[in-house]
Amino acid sequence: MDVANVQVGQRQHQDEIGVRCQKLFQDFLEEFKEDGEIKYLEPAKELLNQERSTIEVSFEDLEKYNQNLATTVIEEYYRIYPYLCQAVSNFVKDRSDLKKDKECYISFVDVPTRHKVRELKTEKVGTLIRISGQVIRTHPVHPELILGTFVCLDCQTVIKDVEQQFKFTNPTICRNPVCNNRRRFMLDVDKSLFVDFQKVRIQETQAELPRGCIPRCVEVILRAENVETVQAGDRYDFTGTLIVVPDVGALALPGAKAQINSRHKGGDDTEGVRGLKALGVRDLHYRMAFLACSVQPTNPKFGGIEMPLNEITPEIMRQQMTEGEWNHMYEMSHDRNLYQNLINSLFPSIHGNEEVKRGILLMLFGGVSKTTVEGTTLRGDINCCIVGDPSTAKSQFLKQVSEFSPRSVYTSGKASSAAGLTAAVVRDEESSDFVIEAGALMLADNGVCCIDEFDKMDPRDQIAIHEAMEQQTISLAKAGVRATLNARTSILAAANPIGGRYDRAKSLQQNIALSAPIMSRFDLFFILVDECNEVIDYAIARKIVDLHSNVEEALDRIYSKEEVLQYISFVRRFKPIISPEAAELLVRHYNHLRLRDTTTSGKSTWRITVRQLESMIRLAEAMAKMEISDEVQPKHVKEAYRLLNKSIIRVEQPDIHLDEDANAPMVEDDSETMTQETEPQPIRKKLQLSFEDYKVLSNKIVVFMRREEARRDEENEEGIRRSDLVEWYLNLIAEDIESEEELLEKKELIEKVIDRLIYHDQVIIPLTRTGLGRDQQEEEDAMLVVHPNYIID
Amino acid sequence: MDLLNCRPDQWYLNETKYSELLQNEQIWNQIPLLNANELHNFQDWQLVRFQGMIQDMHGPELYLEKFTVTNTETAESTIKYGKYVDGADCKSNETIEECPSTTPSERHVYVAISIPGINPWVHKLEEDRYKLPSTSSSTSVHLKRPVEEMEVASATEPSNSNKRPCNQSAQPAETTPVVSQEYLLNFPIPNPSGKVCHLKVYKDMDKIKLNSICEFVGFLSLNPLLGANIDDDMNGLESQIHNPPPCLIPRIHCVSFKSLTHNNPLVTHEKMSADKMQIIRKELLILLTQLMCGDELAAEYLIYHFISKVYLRKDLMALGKFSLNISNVPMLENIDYVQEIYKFVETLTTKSHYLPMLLENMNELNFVPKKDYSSDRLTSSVLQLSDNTHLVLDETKLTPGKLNEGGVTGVRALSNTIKNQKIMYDFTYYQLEYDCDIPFLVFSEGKSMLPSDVHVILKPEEMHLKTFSEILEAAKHFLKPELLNDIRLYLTNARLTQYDLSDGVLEMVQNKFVEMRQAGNITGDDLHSLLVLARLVCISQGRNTLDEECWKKACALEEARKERIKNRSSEK
Repeated sequence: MDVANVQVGQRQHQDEIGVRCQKLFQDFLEEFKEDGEIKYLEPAKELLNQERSTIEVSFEDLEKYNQNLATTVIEEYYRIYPYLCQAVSNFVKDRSDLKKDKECYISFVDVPTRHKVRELKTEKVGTLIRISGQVIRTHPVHPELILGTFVCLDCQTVIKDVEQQFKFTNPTICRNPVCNNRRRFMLDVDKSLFVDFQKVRIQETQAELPRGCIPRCVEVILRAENVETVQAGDRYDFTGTLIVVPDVGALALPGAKAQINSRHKGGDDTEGVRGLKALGVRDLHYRMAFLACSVQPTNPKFGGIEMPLNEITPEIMRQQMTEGEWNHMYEMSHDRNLYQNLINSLFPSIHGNEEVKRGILLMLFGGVSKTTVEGTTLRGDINCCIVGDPSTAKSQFLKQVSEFSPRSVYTSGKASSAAGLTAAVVRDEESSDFVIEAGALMLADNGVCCIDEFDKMDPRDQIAIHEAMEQQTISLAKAGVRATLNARTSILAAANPIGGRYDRAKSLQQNIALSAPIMSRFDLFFILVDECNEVIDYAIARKIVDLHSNVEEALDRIYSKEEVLQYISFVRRFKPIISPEAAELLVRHYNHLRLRDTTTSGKSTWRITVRQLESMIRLAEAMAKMEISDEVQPKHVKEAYRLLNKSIIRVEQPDIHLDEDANAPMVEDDSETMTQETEPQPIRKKLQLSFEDYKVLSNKIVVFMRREEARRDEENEEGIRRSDLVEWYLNLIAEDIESEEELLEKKELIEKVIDRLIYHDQVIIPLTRTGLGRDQQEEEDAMLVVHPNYIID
Repeated sequence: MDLLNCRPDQWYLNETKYSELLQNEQIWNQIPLLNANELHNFQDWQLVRFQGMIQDMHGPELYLEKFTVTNTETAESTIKYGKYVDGADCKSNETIEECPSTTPSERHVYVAISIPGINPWVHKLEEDRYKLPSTSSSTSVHLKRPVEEMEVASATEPSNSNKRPCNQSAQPAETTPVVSQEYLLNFPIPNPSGKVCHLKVYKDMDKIKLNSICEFVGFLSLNPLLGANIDDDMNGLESQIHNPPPCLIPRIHCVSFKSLTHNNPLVTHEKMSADKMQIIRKELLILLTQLMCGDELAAEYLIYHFISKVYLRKDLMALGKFSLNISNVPMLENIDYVQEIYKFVETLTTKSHYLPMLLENMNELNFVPKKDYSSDRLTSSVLQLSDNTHLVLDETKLTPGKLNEGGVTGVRALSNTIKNQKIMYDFTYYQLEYDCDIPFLVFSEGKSMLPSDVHVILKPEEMHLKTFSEILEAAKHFLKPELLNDIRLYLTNARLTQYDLSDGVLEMVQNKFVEMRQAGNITGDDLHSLLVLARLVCISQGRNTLDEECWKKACALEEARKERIKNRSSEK
């Protein structure tokens, strides 16, 4: 720094620009008004307090006031910094009745551009910049001498106000003109001015790190009010400037002279670095350090811990985005196919399973968390569980999500205990104090916690996460530590069914080893069944082979990972409100579910409770968020209901669609599947049976056929024909049939069931006579036999 | 232009010319190799070559590329250059001037270590080839000598004549805790002949990745004054780590480097013909079959394991990994079967490491590299290995006992590495994932506790078991030097073979998969492993594209392997 070794009163040359800036800046402090008040008057008055010394100035205000000044501050920050501080001192002095000079400091906030640790290059030296990083090490606070008062040991002259920068600096020469002492001085500690000084070290955050590199560190120097404001492990934004210091602990080393900001200073007589001078070789290593004037927690765009998330509005997010990014967000929100495109971009390598992908996408968006009048919070995070056969890409979903979202943790239920998931109290080795060690759920605060092999977890541990899943807090009361910690996380769990394979005939509860309380805490359950199906097999084979031959599927991925991520973090800030129509629809759907729940008593293990209503609301909110809509509309509710229904229905009884085109989602009404076995549906053409009903019916048919076969075999009659079967069935239910219409309906149903048994399940084999005598009649009314290996279960 | 005797300032002034010269491979190879020679045979500012793995990355360093030196007595000023040198070379009556021509620049500091797990034959070959005619008093060029010397040096106090500079700079350090030599060297695997260098790199920084293997050419800097300046009490440990004594850890100011895909000195530009590869493959199969006690299936898989590498990473999968678990290993009297096998692995592959899974090893060894913030460096561990370093785990040595916390994390780290070929480095506040490519070979009695891509149950034949010591003798005789070199060459060549899948074959594979699936009992994961195996079958025969024959062979192998597992489980 220019003035480092220049004595007061002997200033060799005045820095013109510095003086101009000082004046302009003081004008700014005096004149800048917000809402008719001089904005910086109040803060300046606070500086009168003994312990205060720093004024915080928003850089945006400065930019508004004087663009040129702002530019100069950015570019020549280090050079004019003392002048700016002087301006503050003067301002404070003018505006108050302060008698003596007070050393004041300036601290800029809201500096627009932010740099990565890796981008700190020599050209940045001396300019005002903002960097963000994770604090990895804090040093103790030391007093730093800034203005030293020296006594000449030869003539006892007192030399006041010798400015010090980073190292102990003697006056260059005694002020007494007749005394030529250059070396022998003594510091008068009582009359010197000290300031708090702390060194911390920050490290590049994971998100900024290029692959295959070690994170880089930079030392940050904090002074005055900024000391002790950071904690190791947290992420902060530092505003300030890059300075250059010689290596080898030069900050503490007397003799090696700090050489700062040489770029801005020509002609001044700064010596090189001494150190090894006597040995004929001079050390030419320098090191960069960052001199910070303000510290702020990092904001959410970079995934920091930051201020309460609720306070971040979309507007703040918008301010942080560049024009291009903003436009892109806008375009994305108007994409008609957004839902599908986002899914494809998120999971390009997983085939099928569209519903699961949708569920996970909505989970990433999340609902809106609310606080009731009493102060209880209702969670907005959506929990999902995937149950399925081995090798159905469950883990891949989890891995993908944990890789993808910024604050997420992937653990395996088998390998983690309750303490590992929630939090543990451990005794610190050094201080023998109890400290809380964060578990996976805490680490994933505001993110996603992916737990694989959820069912393998010890039941006791499962209970431990009840609280975390619904209340989103973790309470500890152990060994003298009592605390409630936040765990606002979505949980994405994967579990294997009991016995390895999902048994369709059983209910969900019977299929997985999870207790009902925990099951009810999941908003969505997805079942993945490993089906043998030629079409799917081909598709899977294609995906895998393509993967191995490294074929890029450019078509699938419309948005890049980063785009989706940014979109999600942007959209998460919205808080859509439920519109009256949507609310009505929600109520209707809920009633519906609830009603159905009570009518199908007995086999249902999934109780429809208020939790499911909440789930539906959350899902609907997530849908609305995705479309950046301010209110939840009926269409969002519809999709939410569909998803929820899908997850419940699939669990209870995967319906058998007897129509070819029955694949369309059954959105409107599903009650008929719940009622009596084969009740006709006069209005709807779509034919479907619940899985259990289908099973019952098919078993009846098989039993009948076996019996009949045996009988006819004995009596040497011809085998059963298709028409026989239909006739038998219609006779069987004759009592229930009331109208002719119903009869036709039933006939159609049984035909379809037989078709399905023949062509899909291959339980019944049609015997067709080969040869020329085959006619139309024969084809339609084939001889049927039961597959000999079929076992009724 | 004499490249070999070039000085840093000359290089700086004629950068392009010299760089062009360096393009010539012959000239490149003339530069003395630091790995094969002792440090005391070199002079300060000599151009050297160093082959090593990037172990750690330090922060950037600022230096003055160009500056003016003024003699205070004569007021004469000269321009000097700071590139490729550590300090400014000026006398006590000269001062460094600040002037507009002073240009600060940045250089990056990396820590490079001798390739961990490099096998003795590779080292010996390099020494044979690149050992400088000894200039010092010790005229012995016995190959064993240097290694022994080093061992002695590290075992006892560094008091040899060639260690003197080290002592000098270490002496003032007595006030602060002096760190041990091993601590400074920071090898993942103890390596008596290993070397560590601090590299100062001036360009192409982004091409340097952690754990990659590169060959660097640069100016050696041995000035003893570069050792830590101990006056500084604030970061004592840190400055010692960053400024270690140059006699132990020299600095190399790198002018050029190239990354290496393998470290086999036998490989030349000549490609091995497919026919020759097949012949060598047969020989190798014979050898391995004998070693596997007559089990040809296990031998086949062993070959594939040797030539495997991760050839593609997509999404979360590392394709091509082929970690092998050979179980049902015979327990022979007087012979440690696994160690005997490892001796052969060591002679065949370029990089390998044998790790007996003793309980104490598991509990005490560090498996995951950890960032040490107090000394600001990455503390190395067993798993910090360069790509394709064969790690042989001997589970037969495991005894029942208590696995402590370290042991549990160790086992978890191992299984995660096998599963994903990624290692989570410990950065205290968070963990960072680094890709790796370490083929694991696990020998165990029952099925290994660690996961594996392929599990082969060994089927030893009675005959072989009885005569195993004779078989070992015979195998050693069988490996004549020529054949041995051919096999070494074959393994590297096969691994580097380019491989494609043609569309026609893809179609076939898909159809086959659907067929198999209809037959039941096959999943997508099985298809993955089949495709990987088919690739290895293919390249082991020197072919470049998959054909039906290889596919069928892969299917047959897998079937035979699964049959054994099935039989084994049904026996129980």
